[in-house]
Amino acid sequence: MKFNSDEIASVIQAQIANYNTQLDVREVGRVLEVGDGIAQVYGLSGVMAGEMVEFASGATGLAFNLEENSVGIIILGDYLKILEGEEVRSTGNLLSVPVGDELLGRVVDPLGAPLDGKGPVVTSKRRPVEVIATGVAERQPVKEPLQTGIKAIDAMTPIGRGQRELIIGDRKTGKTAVAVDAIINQRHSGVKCFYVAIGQKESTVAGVIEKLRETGAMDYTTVIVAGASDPAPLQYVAPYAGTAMAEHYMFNGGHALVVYDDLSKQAVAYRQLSLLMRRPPGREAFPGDVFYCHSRLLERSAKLSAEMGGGSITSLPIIETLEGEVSAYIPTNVISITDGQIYLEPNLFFAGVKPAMNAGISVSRVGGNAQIKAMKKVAGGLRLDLAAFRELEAFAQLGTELDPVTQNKLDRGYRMVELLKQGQYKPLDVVDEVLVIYAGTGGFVDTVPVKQVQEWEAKFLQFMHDQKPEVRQELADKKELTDEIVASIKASIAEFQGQWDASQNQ
Amino acid sequence: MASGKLPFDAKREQLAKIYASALLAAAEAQGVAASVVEETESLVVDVFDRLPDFEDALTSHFLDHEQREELIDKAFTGRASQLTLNLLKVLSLNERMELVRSIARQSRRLYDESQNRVAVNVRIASAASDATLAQIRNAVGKAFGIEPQLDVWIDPAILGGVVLRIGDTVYDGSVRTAFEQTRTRMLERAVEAIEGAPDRFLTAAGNGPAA
Repeated sequence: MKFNSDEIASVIQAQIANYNTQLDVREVGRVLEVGDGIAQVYGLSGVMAGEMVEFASGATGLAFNLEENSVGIIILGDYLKILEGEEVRSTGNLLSVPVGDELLGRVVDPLGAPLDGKGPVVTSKRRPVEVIATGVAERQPVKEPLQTGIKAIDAMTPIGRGQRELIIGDRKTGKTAVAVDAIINQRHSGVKCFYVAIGQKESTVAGVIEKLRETGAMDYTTVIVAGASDPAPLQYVAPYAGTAMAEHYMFNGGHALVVYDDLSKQAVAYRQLSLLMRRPPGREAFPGDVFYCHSRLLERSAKLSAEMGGGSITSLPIIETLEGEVSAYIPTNVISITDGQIYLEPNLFFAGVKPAMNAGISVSRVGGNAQIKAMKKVAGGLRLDLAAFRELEAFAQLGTELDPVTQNKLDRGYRMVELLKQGQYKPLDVVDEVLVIYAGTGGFVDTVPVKQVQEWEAKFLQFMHDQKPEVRQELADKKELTDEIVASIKASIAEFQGQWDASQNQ
Repeated sequence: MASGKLPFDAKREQLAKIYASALLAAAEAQGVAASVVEETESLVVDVFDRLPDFEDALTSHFLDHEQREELIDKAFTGRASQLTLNLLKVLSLNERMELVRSIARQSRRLYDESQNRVAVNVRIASAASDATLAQIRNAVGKAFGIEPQLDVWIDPAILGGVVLRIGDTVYDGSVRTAFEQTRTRMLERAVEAIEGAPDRFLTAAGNGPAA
């Protein structure tokens, strides 16, 4: 194909023919002082809260504080080029970001400008960054599952489309890994993913992006980066920008998954801005409205009603705790906003339990309705079994003689813990998850030595894939454990067990 | 540092505005608003600018109110109206002597506004004749129903046309902005046209350019 220059000329000709000048009327102010990502501006008497303003040197800002004598502006971008006395003009617009399929596979900053060197994001569609969340009438309960591909989560703290499930834990407990696995597992689900990296090292983000690329997840994922070296205003708006990009899909009947990694850093950026703006500090020096900062963000995750197209945004906010302190200000806030939390513990992590989820205090308040029937059935007793096991485990460490029933419970527990361990970047299909957990809770693994449980699991799944695809297919179609399916699963396990025993005796 | 060199402070201006409106209200009650405004301006231009040491002494926090009052009485009794004298004493009592310059500025602005005289900042590309300026003054006065006080700036960067600033609003009729607008509009329209009907701009390879 070649460009037709005549047509281009005709478009320009039409524009010249219809050229008319319009007087440019704008409201202006002057920069009084600038620094640390904020500016005080004199003038701009008609500016609205949250309105976008433009500095003469090209940077954009947001009207953040409307004071009696001046306007406090947060600067989105490079504030070092802004000079004292510079003209600032109001635009009459709210901050917006580009949205659409063109963003998939891209790495952008919170304003939608590309950071990956793959050229401009060519889309004319934009959405405002800050919008009021949909109301009660436009929603419906969470009922569709969002499979993370992680056995422990899909079984015990299931996540539904439209849910907000918090991932909370100390540093280095695998919080990002859980979220990234959830993104990778959306390969065939049609869910568009948005990974919002806030205040992280650029090298860490680059690692995540590389992993997403390797696994093919970048095809349906947008990464929004406001790194540790970016000014606080960008870190503050990043999650809202990511949500705006996800809303494009939700309001068009699609499904999106947003990961905010992490909101504690966003709260810190917001605290910085608020203190610089001289807003009064409250608990832990956070401003009074830091709760609203997170609640209005997470309220935008929703499952829309059928009349609205039935789209959804599922969000996985991440909060980093210090020394397991979940009762700090930001963690309690976000725990109370979200529909459940996945609590990751360093002790479990270092004991080799990965994902290091503490099943006792991790909950999902609404996800149960979204589980497929088969999973609901096999996972029913799993959480209680595990909690009972943790209790007994403490006893067992005392070295007391145990009665056979207790010993059996303990043995089962050890094996279930082994079964729920899962490697990073290896999300499982929900059918495989059901098969594995069924085998575990059904007691079919009890004869396998604890150290060989993971090997048994891998070979069992391989066996089901290679030799019993019809059983998997039936389970995938019906999504529930009918008597026939249970019978065929039992038969398959028995058959596999025979092969396993034979291989072990060699 | 002399008070005259204090950097611009939005809070101080706001405070000065309050004093200025009070001063004007008192002056209007006596029917001497114009002369009081002139007097405060003259205080800045003829006294403070010429005698910076005197201004420093008046604004100094080393003197207490009684000493300052004495100084004010000695310097200004009989030479200034009672209102101006009282203003200075009130400022001294409230430890706000550094506001004098701002009050002079604000009272002039408020008085002009009350007389429907509004400061208009005019930017043009090259020096204009008096006739042209008069034309601008008439046009602005007619359009906004005000008596414009033109403050003319020469700025070759705008290339041509005129840029007016009245209060916080800028009316930009400069050639430079027109060029910029045209450029963005042409780009936008061209992109729109290409995105809307890409086939129109392409010819199949091998057929050569369309005739």
